[in-house]
Amino acid sequence: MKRQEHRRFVWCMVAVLAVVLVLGGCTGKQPQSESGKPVRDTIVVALAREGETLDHIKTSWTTDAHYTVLDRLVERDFDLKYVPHLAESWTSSPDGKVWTFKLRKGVKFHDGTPFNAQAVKWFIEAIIDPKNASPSASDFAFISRIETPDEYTVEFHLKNPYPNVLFKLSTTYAGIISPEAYKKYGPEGTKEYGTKYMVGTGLYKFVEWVPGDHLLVTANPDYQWGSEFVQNKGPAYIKNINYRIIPDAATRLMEFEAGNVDLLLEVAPQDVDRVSKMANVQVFRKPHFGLGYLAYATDKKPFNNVKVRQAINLAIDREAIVKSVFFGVASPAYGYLPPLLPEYVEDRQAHRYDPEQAKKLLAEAGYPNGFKCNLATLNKTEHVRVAEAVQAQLAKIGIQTEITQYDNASYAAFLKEGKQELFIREYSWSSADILQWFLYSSQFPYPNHSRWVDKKTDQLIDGAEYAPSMEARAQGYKVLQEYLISQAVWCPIWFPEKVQAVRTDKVDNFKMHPLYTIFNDVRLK
Amino acid sequence: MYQYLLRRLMLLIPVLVGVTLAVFLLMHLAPGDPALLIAGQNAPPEVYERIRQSLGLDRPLYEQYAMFLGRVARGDLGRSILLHKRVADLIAAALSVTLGLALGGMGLAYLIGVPVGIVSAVKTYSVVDQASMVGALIFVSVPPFWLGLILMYVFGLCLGWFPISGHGSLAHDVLPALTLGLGGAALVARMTRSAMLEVVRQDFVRTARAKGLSEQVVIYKHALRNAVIPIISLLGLRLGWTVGGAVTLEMVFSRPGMGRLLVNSILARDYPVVQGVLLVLGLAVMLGNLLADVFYAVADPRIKYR
Repeated sequence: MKRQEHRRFVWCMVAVLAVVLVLGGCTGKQPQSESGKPVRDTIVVALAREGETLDHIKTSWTTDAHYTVLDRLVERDFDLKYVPHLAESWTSSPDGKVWTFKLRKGVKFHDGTPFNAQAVKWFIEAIIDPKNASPSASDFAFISRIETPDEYTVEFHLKNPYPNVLFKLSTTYAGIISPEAYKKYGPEGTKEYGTKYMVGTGLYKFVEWVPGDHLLVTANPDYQWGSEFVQNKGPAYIKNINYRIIPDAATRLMEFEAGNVDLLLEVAPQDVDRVSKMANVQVFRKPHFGLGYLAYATDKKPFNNVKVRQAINLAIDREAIVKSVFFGVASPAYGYLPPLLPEYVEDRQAHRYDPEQAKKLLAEAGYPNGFKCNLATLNKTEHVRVAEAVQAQLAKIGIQTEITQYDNASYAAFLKEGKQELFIREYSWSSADILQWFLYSSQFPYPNHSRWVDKKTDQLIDGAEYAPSMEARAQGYKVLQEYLISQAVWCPIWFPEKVQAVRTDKVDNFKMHPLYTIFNDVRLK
Repeated sequence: MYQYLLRRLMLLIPVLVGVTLAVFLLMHLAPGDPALLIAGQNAPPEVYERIRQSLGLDRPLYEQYAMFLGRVARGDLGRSILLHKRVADLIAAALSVTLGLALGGMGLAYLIGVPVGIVSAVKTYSVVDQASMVGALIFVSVPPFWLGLILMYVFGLCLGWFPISGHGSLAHDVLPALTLGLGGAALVARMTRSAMLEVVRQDFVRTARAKGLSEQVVIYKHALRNAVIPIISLLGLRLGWTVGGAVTLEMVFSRPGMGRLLVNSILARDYPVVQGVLLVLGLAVMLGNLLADVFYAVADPRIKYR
C-alpha cells in the first residue's frame, strides 16, 4: 500500500512537470516584468572579454571601462573629427616640433586631486619612463620632453615634426590617471591600482571589478566637462553601468533577448540576423577600424618571390570568404588600411580573383605544380574558418597547405621565433601608423612578422610619419601603400564590421560611435 | 585507521610536489610567455625584456621552481602576474563559486542516479529499465555545454524560471547544478545498475528472500550495501573532476569559478595562478579518493585499513 502511494506521488509530480512545460510553451517570450518594480538605475552592458588589469600603463589591452572612467586631452566625435576635451585648445609651432595644449580649468580627479598640467606631464612621462616598461611607450616615443609653463598649459617638445599627435592623445591609452592615486596604489604603492582602484576624471567612477564576473562604475556627480559633441555636458543620466563579463556568445545573446542585458557591444557576424529580428532591439552596424589578412614570411622561399605573393593575392576569392565566413557582415578588402582612414588606398585589379593568372604567375616563378607549406592561424572561430577557405582556394592553384591553430600566447611566440610561412592575422587600429608597426625594418622580427625588411619601405614610412602636415602624411602613406601593393607584401582579405545592439524598450538615445561607447546622453526608460 | 589516514595524508606531499613539477615543466615547455602578452605586439624588444626581468622569467628554470616551492612551503602561493592579486585570494574566490555548484551537482547526480540505477537493476529489461538506460546514455553522451545551453534556453529564456547566467544567489546555481547533475546522474545510474545486477544474483540475496524478508529490505539493506563500493569510487573520482573540470559549464554560465580561472591563466601564461589552481585541484582529486576510501570502510565493515 505504502509503495503504491509513493509511486502515485512520483507519477503525479512527473505529470505536473510535463503539463507545466507543455502549457508554458517555449514561445521565446520574455519573462514578465513585475508591476511596481523599482526604477532602474543601472544599464547592463555585456563584455566578451575583460582586460588583464585596468592599469593601462601596464597593459596593451584596454576595455570600454577605460573610456568611461578616464578622460583624454583630445576626443574624437561621431565623425572622427578631433575635438577638445580636457584640453580646451591646442596649437603647434611653425616647425611642427612644439605642441601647446591649454587645459580646461575646474576639473578634478575622482579622488579629489586637481587636474592640471603637472598631472598630464606626470602621466605621459610615466608611460615613456623605461622603468615602467609600458607597452604604450612606443606610442609616445615622439615626445622628447614636456614642459608646464603654467598650471593649465602643457608643451610637448617633439624629436621631429610629427603630425599625428592628436591621434595619439585621443586613444584609450592616453586616458589620464590621477597621479596621487597611482602613487598610493600603483607599483610603488600598494600594487592595487588596476584591480581595486582606477582613478580618472571621467563620466563614471570606478566602483569594483570582480574578474570573470562584472565591473561596476557609478556616475561622477562632479562631472561638468562633456565634450562638444555630446548634448549633456554634466553628470551622466544613468547612475551605474554594470559591465557583465559573459564570454560565451550564445549566453550573451540569450541574456540580451531575455532583457537582462541592455547593450551588446559586439554581435558576432553569425548572430546579426537573429538579433535584427528580435523585438524592441535596434542594431547598429559600422565599418570597424581593422583588417584581416593573409600574411607570409617574405624572407623565406618561395614567398621571397614577388610573383608567388602576387599569385596568392589573385587566388583568394575575397567576396566568397566574406559571404561564407562572415555572412556578409564584413566587406572584401582591396587595400591595407581601413577605408574610413584618409590615407586609404585600394587596388581592385591587384586583388581581383583570377586563379588562371595566379597559376601562370606561379609557373613563371618556377612553381608550375605549386608547393606545400604551413598555414598558421589563431584558434578564433572566424580565423579558423578563413584559414579553411584560404586552404581550399590555394589548393586550386596547386598550393597545398596544412593548417595549424594556436592560442594567443603560443601564436605570439611562434611569430616571434620566425617559424611562420603563411599565416592569418587581423589588426584593429584607427591610424595609418599600423603599417609602420608591422612593416618597418626596426620592428623585425616582431611585430614585423611578415619579415619585410626593405629600405624603400622605411624611407616611405619615415617620409609619411614625420611629414609636416596631416595632408602630407596622408599623401606619404598613399604612396607607401601603392608600393606595398606592387610588392604584394600582404594579401588583404576582409574589413570587419562593428555591430552593436541595444534594447529600445529599456534604453533611450543611444548612438553608436565608431570607436567608443558614449553614455553622456543615454537614458534608461 | 587513523594511522592509515595519517599515512595517506603524508603521501599527499610527494604526489603534490610531483604534480607541481610536471605542471611547471609543461607550462614552461609550451611556447609563449606572459611578458609577450603584457607587452602586446607593438612593444619594442627592450620593453619585452624588461617585463620579463620584472617577472623573474629571465632566471633559470630550476631557480624559478625552487622559489615557487619555497613559497608554497611557507604557505604563500605567490601573486598573479597579470592581476597582481594574491593567488590564494583568487583561488578562494573561485572556489567559493565552484564548490556550491560542485556539491549541488554531485548531490543531484546521486539523488537521481542511485534510485534510477536500483530500479533499473531490479526491473531488468523492463520498459522502465530500458527507458532509464536510454536516458542515461543520452545524458552521458551530451556535452555539458550543450545541455547547459538547452536548459538556459528552456528554463531561463522561454520560461523565465531561473536566471540564465551569472552567480550570486541559489537561483543562479540551479541550472548549472542541474546540467552537472544530469550528466553525473547518468553515470551514477549506469554504475549503480551494473553493480546491483552483480549483487542481486548472488546467493545471499536469494537467502535473504528465502528468509521471508520484504523486497525493500532485501534491496536496500542487503543488496545495495554490497553494491555500493564502485558507486563510492565514482564519488572520489568525480569530486576532483567537478571542481576543475566544469570549465565549459563555467564559460557558458559566466561563472568565475576554478575551471575558468585555470583556463584563463593558462591562456595568459599566468604561471603562479596555474600552479596554484592545479595544486588545489590535485589536492581535491586526492582528498576525493581518500574520502572514498574512508567511505568504503563505513559502507563495508569487512574493509579494514591498517
